[in-house]
Amino acid sequence: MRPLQKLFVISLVLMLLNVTACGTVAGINQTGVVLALGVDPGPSGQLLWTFMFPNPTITPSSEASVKPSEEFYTLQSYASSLVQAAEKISMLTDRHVYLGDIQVVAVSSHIGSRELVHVIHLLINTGDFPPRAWLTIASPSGEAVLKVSPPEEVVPTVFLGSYFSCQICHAIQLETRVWQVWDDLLVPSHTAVIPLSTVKGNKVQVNGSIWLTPTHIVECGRKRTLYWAMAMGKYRAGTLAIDNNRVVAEGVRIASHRWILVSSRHMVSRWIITLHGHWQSVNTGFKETSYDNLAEKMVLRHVLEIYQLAVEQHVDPFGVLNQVVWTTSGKAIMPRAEVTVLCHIAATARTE
Amino acid sequence: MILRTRFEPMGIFEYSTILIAAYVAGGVYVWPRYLCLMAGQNGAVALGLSGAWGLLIFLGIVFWANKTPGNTVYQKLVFTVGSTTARVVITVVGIMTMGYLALVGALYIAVLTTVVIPGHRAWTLGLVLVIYLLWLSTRPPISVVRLFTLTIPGLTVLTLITLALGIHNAQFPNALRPHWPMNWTVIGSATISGTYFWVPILPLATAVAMVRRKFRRKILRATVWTVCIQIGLLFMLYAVAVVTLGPEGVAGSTWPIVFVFENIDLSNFFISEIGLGVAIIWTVSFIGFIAWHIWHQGLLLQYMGPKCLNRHYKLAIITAVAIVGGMALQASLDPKQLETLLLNDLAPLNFWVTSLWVGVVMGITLWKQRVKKIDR
Repeated sequence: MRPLQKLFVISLVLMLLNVTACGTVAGINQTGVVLALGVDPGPSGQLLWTFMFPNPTITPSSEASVKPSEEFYTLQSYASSLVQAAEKISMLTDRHVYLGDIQVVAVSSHIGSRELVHVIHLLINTGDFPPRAWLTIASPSGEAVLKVSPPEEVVPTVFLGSYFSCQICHAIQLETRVWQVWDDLLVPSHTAVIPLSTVKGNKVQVNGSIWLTPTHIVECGRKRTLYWAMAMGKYRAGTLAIDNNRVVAEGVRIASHRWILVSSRHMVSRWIITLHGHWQSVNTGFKETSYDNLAEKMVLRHVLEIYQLAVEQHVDPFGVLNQVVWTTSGKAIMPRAEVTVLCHIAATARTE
Repeated sequence: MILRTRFEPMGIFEYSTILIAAYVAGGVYVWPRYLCLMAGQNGAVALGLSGAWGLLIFLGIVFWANKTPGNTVYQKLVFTVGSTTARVVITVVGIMTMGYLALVGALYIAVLTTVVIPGHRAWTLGLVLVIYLLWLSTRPPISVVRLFTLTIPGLTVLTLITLALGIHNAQFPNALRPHWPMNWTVIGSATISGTYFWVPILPLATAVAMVRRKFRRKILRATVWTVCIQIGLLFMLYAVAVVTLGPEGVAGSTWPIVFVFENIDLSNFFISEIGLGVAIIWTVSFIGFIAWHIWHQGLLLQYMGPKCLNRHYKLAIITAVAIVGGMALQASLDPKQLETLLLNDLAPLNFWVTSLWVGVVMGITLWKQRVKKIDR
């Protein structure tokens, strides 16, 4: 290699080392890793942002002796946007606040629809924030939900993060991610279904949901949420009680198949809902066929009831309008629903 | 002037990887958004039509290059249409190619500095890429081709794995259906804007000349297969974006494919950072692709450029690309403006220019063949 080439290569290497900008990366001792985020209404159009961090004093050996309430700590700041709030917390703690590991976002149930949509857009457009984080509506507040930490959770997983990740831990699958909510508001249905987490004593219960549209919110209690889950095939491995709780089916999985039928005169949303599971035939004189019939009628009633509610409230938490717009040339109007429920719940064969 | 027009020959596999490599650089991360913005749910139809045009153009060039003597596209063009027309074609297509490389380069840097390594200054990354390019484009072309034989199969497998993982987030299978009645005007516009993908097409004729003689018979068939694989990959990327986000969601996100890949949750999978692997191998392939074109533009400049540029032709090309890219970056790092330049301005120009010159050289080749037959 000629001297000039050598000089060129050496200066090139030196220059490349200097332009990688690796010098600006903060070490772990200077980084505050946010595990969960709470959003509550604040004064004069601002929001109260609650950042939940793992307790940095916890080590593998001390983990067993630390109380659940001491495993995490929260810091709060009023700001109009997430980045401004993170900046304030950075100044307060003298640490770089890292948002890339946020597992769950809890937004207060006292925030209106327009502001909630605004929060979703703020989150999606924040560079470090992972849009795949779970989203929940929090009652009474985002801060209250984050502060409850059941003893079974250990750093670095947070309760709601692992709750929504688990597909077999609960019967109703309500989980939704921030990007899905953002997307649900863009597609023709313009409705996102977000789980509602409520603080009860020292526990958090996920027992309801809200239907969010760009203009309004419809709150759904435990029953309506259950009916919606039945209609959408989100009910898996639960129980189903009929005949005043005298007969129970276990391991019930409800499948839902929905499409649009168009004829020359009208359009129909056609749903086939199928129940799978096992009857607990503990009563004498168990009649499987009649119980099948009862279960079908009950689910049908619930599904039609929830569909009627959605039509009355001008929301579409079922994605029917997506199917109307994408599969037909019709207008985005909620069509009549034709629902068939099929019961394939088999009797257990262990005893007669 | 002594030109290096004898290159180390290559086989069919190497040739195919050069063709497939185009999907890496083609700004696939922006295309779905534009298709959905213009044609809505019928973006897939526009994508199919753009692909059909691309296939026809590729077949036209390969057919012509195979039947025409010469080691480079310049020599083949001179043989077919004469020196003056060849120079005009090469100048126009060369300028379009440089504009294309600069724009996709600026877009790629914008994606990297926003999503993969947020917060870093674009110019530092641009500088690193340009220096690497400068070095790589001075290597013999077979070096870049061998780089492709390593990175392109790996990248394709990684892309397919990522796509398979992305299917987990699919929500709207209905959104991929064609929508009736079709508005052919907007589908036509979307189709033409989609042809931007095949702007850098000149090196294909040189690549045909570089294939070993004993494989020449297989080139046409290999081209069909490779272009089908290329279009298949593009379609799969588009399909995953649309079934995940819906046409409205795709149109509403700046980089739909990056967004879809970013939202894949691998917390239960033994690899947690597949995106980083894709980004690294993608960047290497991307640089290889641009280096191949810089080398080729340098080769053409050897024929056509002023004598003073003969020794530093690659530096001249890379400076031109970097200046245009720098201007695009400086003008705005807003990807939407870069996309508009690429898809609204460059693509229609390329569509008509490429259709015209490929059609003419094809026509002349067919006519010459016919005359030969009659003479016999």
